[in-house]
Amino acid sequence: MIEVTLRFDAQFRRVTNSDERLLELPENCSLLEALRHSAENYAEAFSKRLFTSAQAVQPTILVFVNENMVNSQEADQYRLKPGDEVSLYTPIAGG
Amino acid sequence: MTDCDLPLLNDDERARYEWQLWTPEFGEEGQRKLKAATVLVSRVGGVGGTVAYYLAAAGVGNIVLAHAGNVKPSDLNRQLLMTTDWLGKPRVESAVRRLNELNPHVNIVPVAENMSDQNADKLIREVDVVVDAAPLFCERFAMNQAAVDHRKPLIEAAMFDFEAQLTTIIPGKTPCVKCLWPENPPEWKREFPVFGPVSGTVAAMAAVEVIKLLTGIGDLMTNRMLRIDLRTMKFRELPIAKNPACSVCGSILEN
Repeated sequence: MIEVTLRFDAQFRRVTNSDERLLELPENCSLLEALRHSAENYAEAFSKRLFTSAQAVQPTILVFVNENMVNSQEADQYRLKPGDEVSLYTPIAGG
Repeated sequence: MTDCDLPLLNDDERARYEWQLWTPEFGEEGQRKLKAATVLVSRVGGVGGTVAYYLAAAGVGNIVLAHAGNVKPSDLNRQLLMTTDWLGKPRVESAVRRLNELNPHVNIVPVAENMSDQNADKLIREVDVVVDAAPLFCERFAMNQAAVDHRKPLIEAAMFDFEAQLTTIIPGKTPCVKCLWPENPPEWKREFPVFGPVSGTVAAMAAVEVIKLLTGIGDLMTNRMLRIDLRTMKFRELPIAKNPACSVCGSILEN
């Protein structure tokens, strides 16, 4: 198993009631698998915000693994490593 | 525009800008570049209004303000260009009045409209820099398309709650708005929690980016995004990249 930290921005915090979560994942887990796994811990509103109806990552969510931006369409190919930090940023436009 | 073409400063302006003229790499030439410039700010609420206030104070010669609607009580916690005595009257008029009070040397051009696909091309083709502080993605997309079409720099500033983000878009050289958010985010709503100092913080940074862009000072927030969380006072600088398949800027070659 590997441990990965998932960090939330303000809009995700509203549906998770937390700033971050430590995930225990199988070795060689993909980013998409990790996000789907994390969704099991939260209400439907989390999944609705993060995933499309086809359970892919919403293209408007910016996903970073450490300092690397990962294209949402490549989340199923991106393999996580122990200690990775995944940050989710929802689109914001407040002016 | 060559240095010779830049407008001269008068004594009133030298006195007003004296303390920023002391900035070594800025000087009188930098001030004249600001005076010659035209910047569009949309909208002029908590972020855009504060950007416009700082740009007017700094002496940006021409500032175009795009914002529809009348001043409401709920504007007043953050929109520093709106005042209680102007409730029910056009926001953009309040903004012009306040900026003229602050600095009569700058030319303020009011447009009582929000940015859209109908007006973005016409407004953006005439300016040097665009500051995007609009609360709806359809407005941001309209500005982005016109900014890319006319190769105009676009400062992207946004906030939500205690968080904010900033990036500077140079069409062809950096990701554009559509590279980052390729479609209208279904969950985003125009009503958002906001304290004035949060919108004001990112606004001040956006105004600095405009001054740097116009004068060539420093390093711009290009190909990176600043995400700030003022709840924890944590700032993150994140690298971002163009999307080669972007529907707006994907076909533009770097130059």
